[in-house]
Amino acid sequence: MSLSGKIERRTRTIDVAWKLCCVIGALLAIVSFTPLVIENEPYSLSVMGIPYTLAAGIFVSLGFILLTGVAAFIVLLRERGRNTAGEV
Amino acid sequence: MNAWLVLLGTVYLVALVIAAIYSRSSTKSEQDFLTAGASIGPIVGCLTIAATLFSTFTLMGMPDMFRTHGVGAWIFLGVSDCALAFTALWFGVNLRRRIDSSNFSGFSDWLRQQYRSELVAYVYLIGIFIFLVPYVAIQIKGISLFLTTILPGVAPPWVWSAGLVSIILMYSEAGGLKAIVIADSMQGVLLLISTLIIGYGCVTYFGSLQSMFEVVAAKTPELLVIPGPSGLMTVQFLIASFLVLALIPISQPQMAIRLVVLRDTRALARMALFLGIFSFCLILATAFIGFYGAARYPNLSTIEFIVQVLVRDQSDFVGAMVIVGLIAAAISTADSQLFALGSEMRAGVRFKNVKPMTVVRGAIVAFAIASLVVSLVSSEHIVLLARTGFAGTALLAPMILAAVFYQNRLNRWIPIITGTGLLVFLLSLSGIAPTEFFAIRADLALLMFVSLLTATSILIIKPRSTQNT
Repeated sequence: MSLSGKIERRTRTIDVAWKLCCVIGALLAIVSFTPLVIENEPYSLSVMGIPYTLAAGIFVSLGFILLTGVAAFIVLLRERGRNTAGEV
Repeated sequence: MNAWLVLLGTVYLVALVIAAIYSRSSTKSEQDFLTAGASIGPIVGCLTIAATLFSTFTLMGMPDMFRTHGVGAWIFLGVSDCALAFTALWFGVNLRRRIDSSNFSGFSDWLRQQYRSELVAYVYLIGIFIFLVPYVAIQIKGISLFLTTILPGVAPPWVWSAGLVSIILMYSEAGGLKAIVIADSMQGVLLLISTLIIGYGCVTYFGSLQSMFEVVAAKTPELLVIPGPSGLMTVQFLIASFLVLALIPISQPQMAIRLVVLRDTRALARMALFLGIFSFCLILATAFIGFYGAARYPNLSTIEFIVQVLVRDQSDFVGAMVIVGLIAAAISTADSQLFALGSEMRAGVRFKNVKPMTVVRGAIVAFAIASLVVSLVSSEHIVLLARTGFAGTALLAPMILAAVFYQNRLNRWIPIITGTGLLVFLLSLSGIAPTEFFAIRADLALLMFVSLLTATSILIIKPRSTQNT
């Protein structure tokens, strides 16, 4: 495969990864308002002594931070790819 | 504590003066004044966005949210603000493709160019003015009341308010956005450190998180489930709040401008990650403070609880740091919003025979005075406008997103739809229009309607023929 072909393939992979991050972000947002996270029964569940809703909410928040980190990495890859393509 | 307060307050004021002088000397052009040279790195970018986002509400409101409404406040605040970091990255990447920071003058002007319509600029300006001025006023009022409570007899509230506004004007007018960004960075660090220290102290008072929650469960178990004792944290409320907060990087000009003036897209990517981590740590600490208050002070009023936990339960040094931090928080949020209003006024309204920088500086002074007056005479309506400010400006998001993603499909109906949504929302707040539509609360329903109608108009209305650009 030629160099420009490799660059194009890499760019497509990065674009797909970016869109996947956006989809996962939307799914994470939806999950936040489901019974997976929100407990409205009389308090009975806890995770390591922390109320279930709070613990689940913290996990969702950490999920968003992880997602942001992955998306940021993708953006950095894309920028590096643009610089490489410019040099080519 | 007064000695520490005087020392830390003096250090902070001196730092502001130095920031103003440095910024003034390094500002070479009008564009530098408005965009801080478009050279902000990721760490300063994170701190200035965080400082703009996290106002006095962070220490004076968030802990009380957890204390009175329970774990639902984490979904409301923690999840939303971590999602906000992702939104900032997503929107920032796409926005920077469309905007060139070297000749960017404001969103109202940029929207006017995209839509080729004066109406869109005025809809945007009216929207941000109506909701941001009361929010600035509430910051000023909140701090002046807090200072009056903890320092009784020193000065009446209006003196504190006037003093805060004077400080804001001093370094904003002198150094522009660069001075504001520097001040924000100091405030961001101060806020995070003081909140983490207090949050840690709250947990160690009980020995462990489990012990703290056992005490809360024994006193008020409803705090540990949704919707909480007062029933506020319903799923609908949480969804509406999530959308409103997550849209802040899009709908609030003082946030969006910071996405534009970052050094480059790499800085934006790193900034977004730092912002997510910052938000998580800060809000987690406020959650600990809130549940500490639920365990120890469940029956105190909000101001009594805040003063007790943030000042009286702390060492003199930490208490003084918190007070200076709260003042800094009010200043950093207010200055960013006032500066954004001034910049947008200059970008959106064409003043004949008046220099643009005169418009910016004059507008900042005018909005500052307006906010001061509103803070002194604020009624429950003003408080309501302030609290719903994010929801009001969120209605601008579809119009802005359309300009970013569908620049070839824009039409004149979009600003009309947005303006109508804003009007109906204001009528709903004033009690003239319903507070619910089809069993959906007004802010959420209107956001859905405006988004749906905007998307529909993009799909079905034939755009005007485009000229080569």
